[in-house]
Amino acid sequence: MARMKFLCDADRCIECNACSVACKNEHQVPWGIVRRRVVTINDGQPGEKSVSIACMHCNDAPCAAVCPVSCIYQTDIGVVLHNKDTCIGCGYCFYACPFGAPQFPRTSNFGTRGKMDKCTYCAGGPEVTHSDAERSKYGQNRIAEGKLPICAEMCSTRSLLAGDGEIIAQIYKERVARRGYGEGAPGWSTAYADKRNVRS
Amino acid sequence: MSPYRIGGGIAALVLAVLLVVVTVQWLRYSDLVWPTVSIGPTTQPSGSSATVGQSTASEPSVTDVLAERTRLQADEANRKPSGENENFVFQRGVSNGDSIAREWLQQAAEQHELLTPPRDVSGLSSLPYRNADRLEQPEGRDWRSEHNSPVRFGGSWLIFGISLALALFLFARGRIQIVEGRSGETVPRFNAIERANHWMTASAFIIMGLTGLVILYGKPLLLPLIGEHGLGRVAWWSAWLHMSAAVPFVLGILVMAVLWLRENLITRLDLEWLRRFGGFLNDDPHKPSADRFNAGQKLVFWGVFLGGLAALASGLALMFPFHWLGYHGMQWAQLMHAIVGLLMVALIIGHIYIGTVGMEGAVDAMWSGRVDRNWAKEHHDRWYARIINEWPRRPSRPATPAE
Repeated sequence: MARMKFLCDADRCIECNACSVACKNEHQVPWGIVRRRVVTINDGQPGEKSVSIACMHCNDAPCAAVCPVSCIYQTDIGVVLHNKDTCIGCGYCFYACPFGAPQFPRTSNFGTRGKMDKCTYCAGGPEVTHSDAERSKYGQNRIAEGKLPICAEMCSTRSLLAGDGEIIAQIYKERVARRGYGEGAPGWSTAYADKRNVRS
Repeated sequence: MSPYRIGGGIAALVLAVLLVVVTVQWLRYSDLVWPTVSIGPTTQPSGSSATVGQSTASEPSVTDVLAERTRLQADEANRKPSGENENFVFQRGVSNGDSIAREWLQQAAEQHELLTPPRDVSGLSSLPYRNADRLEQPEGRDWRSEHNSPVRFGGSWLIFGISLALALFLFARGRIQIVEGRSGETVPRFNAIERANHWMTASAFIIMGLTGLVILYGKPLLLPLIGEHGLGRVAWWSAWLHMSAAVPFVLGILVMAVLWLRENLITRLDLEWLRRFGGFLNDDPHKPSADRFNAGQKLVFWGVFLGGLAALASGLALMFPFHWLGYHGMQWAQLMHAIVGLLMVALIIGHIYIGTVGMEGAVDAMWSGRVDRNWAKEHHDRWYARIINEWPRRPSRPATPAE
């Protein structure tokens, strides 16, 4: 079974933020929430790099492990999704997430937290696929249509790659071999290879 | 054998079994997250597809469709996907989720040329939101393992352990009796304000304790019983009740400090009291001297007061996330809140035990506000001597005005 991942080629990201905008538009993400954002490292200095970051849909996802109500779940293509109906807005996933992906609308609890919202890998949620409930809570379900996340599919420099992890790794490696430099895949060791918490 | 000792023995047996169960669970514990939902083609009724004679093998699999789509991102690719608008659905249940999760970890480890060491990375973001500039914080995984394993299991060990110790004590010693028996006359110990405040704090604490335990232990204990939807509802109410009950609780411990702090300052008597364990171990009527509060009660007072303040500080941080703490701070605040809460639950279990089952005549102090003279003499001799001088021969029943 293919394992979906994101890979941002930091040497190609031009910080156009189109990925964030496309995501917001595709899923009608509410005001104050960004499921994908671009972070610039060493801004204005030599070695400046920008990286587009969202939920990385980790292996052994820490958010799912700490969720006190078990509302976060993983699918067999690696995509990590959650159920907004059971979420209690405690914020634990935010403390556990290595990438700051979970977002909380400021609608309750002393004006700080509502139901968690995060990148769904354009795969909707637990509601009936393509239902209005799914669309309004989680956004479009492109995976169910056999499409990849909109952020990667429309990335103008093809910096952001999505899809089968083995294939995007191959695409990236070929690219690095051709041009002769590459930073590695940002966040991959933390998201996918961390074995500290696994006892076999 | 008194019924108290028999009860203590039975409770001790049950608790010992629970402790063993928790220990075994801890040793076998692995919280590897594995997939529980599968994606596949729309399930067609098997009868109808057979009539058309179309083999299901010609249906494109999710893997193939997404893999083809993935390849379109390669630089040289200027192709169209062979098909569009497939229709896949998500279904609960993955038969071998455990092995899939392990395989993924294995696969990722093999991509070593792409892996950079995990590190804290912050940059600059054009977004005005808090933490939008954070790219990576690998310590989230550390917090997860601390929260899930030592805190959760350590907490259950603490709670069952302290209860087992109390049950064994009850089994071995029985209820601590008033050695000279009840005199039938009482003296006032706590006035109405003290009692009202105690019970307000106590009920708030019980609400907070139970709701806090739902948040910490709901997933392992309640989820199998009431399901995901039920747990979501219970936990939602718990989170709200927990925060609401914080208001009377904090008010209560502040009033307690005003009422009782002076009398709870540590004195030399307390060392002697602790050294002799309050005289609880035998029926000698000459128990170690104590003023209004003995060392055990002082322990409860300071535990509740200081623990309450620590829980308040960390709880406020959790209520207003990232207002004055960063990632590390929030993670520590959560751990501290859980640990302080669990310690206070253990302390209060001891407090409830000695105030009710464990000691004859103790509950009267907080219930009716009046205690038996002999109880007062045995456990709080200095205080008793003092009040006897202040209110000579105060009758146990309310005096009529004519008297």
